[in-house]
Amino acid sequence: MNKNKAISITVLGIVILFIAIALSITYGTKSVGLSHVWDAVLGRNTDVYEVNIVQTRIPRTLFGIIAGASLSISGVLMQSITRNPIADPSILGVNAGASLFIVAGIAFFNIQSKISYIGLSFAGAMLTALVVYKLASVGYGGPTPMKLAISGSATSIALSSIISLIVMPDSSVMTTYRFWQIGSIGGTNYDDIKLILPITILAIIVSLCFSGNLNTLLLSEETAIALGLNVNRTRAIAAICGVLLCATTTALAGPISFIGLMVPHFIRMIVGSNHIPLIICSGIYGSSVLIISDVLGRILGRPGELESGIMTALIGAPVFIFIIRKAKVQSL
Amino acid sequence: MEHNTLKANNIKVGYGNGNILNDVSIHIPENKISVILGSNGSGKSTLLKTFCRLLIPNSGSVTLNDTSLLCIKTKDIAKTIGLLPQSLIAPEGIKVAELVSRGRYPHRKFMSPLTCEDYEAIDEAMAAMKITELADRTVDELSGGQRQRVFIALALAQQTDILFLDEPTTYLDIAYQIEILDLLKELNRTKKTTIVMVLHDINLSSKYADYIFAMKNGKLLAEGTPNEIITTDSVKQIYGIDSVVIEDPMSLSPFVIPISAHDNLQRS
Repeated sequence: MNKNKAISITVLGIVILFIAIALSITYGTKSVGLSHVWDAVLGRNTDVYEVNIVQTRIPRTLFGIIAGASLSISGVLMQSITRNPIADPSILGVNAGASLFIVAGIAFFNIQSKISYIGLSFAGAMLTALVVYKLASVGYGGPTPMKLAISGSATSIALSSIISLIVMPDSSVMTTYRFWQIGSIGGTNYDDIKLILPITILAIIVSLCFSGNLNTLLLSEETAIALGLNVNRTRAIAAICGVLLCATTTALAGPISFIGLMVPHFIRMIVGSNHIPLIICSGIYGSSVLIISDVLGRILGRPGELESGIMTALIGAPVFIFIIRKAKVQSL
Repeated sequence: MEHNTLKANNIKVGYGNGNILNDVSIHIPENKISVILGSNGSGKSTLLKTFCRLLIPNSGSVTLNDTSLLCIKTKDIAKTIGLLPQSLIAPEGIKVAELVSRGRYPHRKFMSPLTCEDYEAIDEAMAAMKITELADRTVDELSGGQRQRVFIALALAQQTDILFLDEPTTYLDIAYQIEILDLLKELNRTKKTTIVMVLHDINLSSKYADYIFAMKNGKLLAEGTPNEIITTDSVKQIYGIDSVVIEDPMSLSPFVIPISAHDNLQRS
């Protein structure tokens, strides 16, 4: 019965995703009808302006699919590792860590290539994740959900001020940073996709392979050890995957918050805590949410557009409050 | 039924610098129910955790069939030694049968689905804990006693020869306490499972244990059958209280009646 439910939720998710993709390619500052889009893809559309629009919207949409799935699955992994319903790349400060390293790269080493963005982002994210986890482990009871959230926010704030410190005096860095920082999937192209797709796919496959271990990890550390799980190794591998997923996205699109928090939360409520359906469904719905946020941003921001990072924050903040109220700082 | 010998050899265990357990040697009696007794802070939970490799001794060793636990793959240990820890966490919204199935973890191959054997073990574990009819309920909606039985079933699905339980009856009312302990006794008698528990209630210990280990200040104070261990003198030594020990008319085991400072006043 549970299995059927997971399958129907997956199918529904795929349908929604296709609708979202169609919306993303057709809607925007200038709307293009579906049939025109189709013609443009097949090369039969002669309207150069429409063809251009479609050609920029396709990579943007593809990147949205990858980024949404990455952020959402990253959230699942972080929540399971910390057994904390309010863990997510932005709340744990991981995004801020990635940002700091990238800003430092822009300001001091004048980095330009996307691959070095990704490398710096990963290093910064991983380091911050470790620091936040260690900070939260100090004192009685180990890294409780509340302590993790607090040490995450504190670290986030501290890192943000360091970022300001670096960015403020230099207006050219400021300009580069400002566009990157808001979180937009608008400026991405096929090269970006080629770069992050293999990393994303690898991280998702590894996470799926570890789903049995993650299921066991959710039971409590003592039970997991008694069941013969190598707890530290499972946590380390899942953390690397989770950080990799959010760091690649953050490197190219800037910090996009709350997707990793809200999508897995609702998917968990519906399909339960078995990680195979959880990871798959979170990925599919995460993609849809990000793409739809992006479309909404384009529609609401006319004649310009609102960045998707702003949209996810607008939608996500109330959800975050709802989750905190409901969870009452319980663990998973 | 194979015999698995589990021993602690001169173990010193502690967090940080200080040792909570100081030079303890214990041989767990096979196919029996053993209870570890002791006052708060005597090291009984530490002892249990060390046997289950949750803690690693600073010196000395815990051996399974004369091989140190440190030299056995943790997944292989999990096929012989099971544990019901004190804090039990169920993932939100999980169904009873699914939770019990998690006990099959050490027997499953990487990424393979549940096998026939797995399903048999799960059904058997649920039947033993009398929770078969709860299989499709979510764990969140269960009562304390039912919840406890579900987690014991999880440990049973692991199909281990040796089962440790850390205060399995805490927070349960007397009816559930008896129910759980009866089920464990049945398990021990039918499947010859070696059971080791930490219990707070000295009288329940006396009623259900074949063998008792009494801990005091990180050392093993005494060991033996309830009749040997539970006496006025040893109760004074273990808990520092005066008591009268009588015979439980039903189980014929020793029964401790603690003496309160107000007892004599009330009589006169």
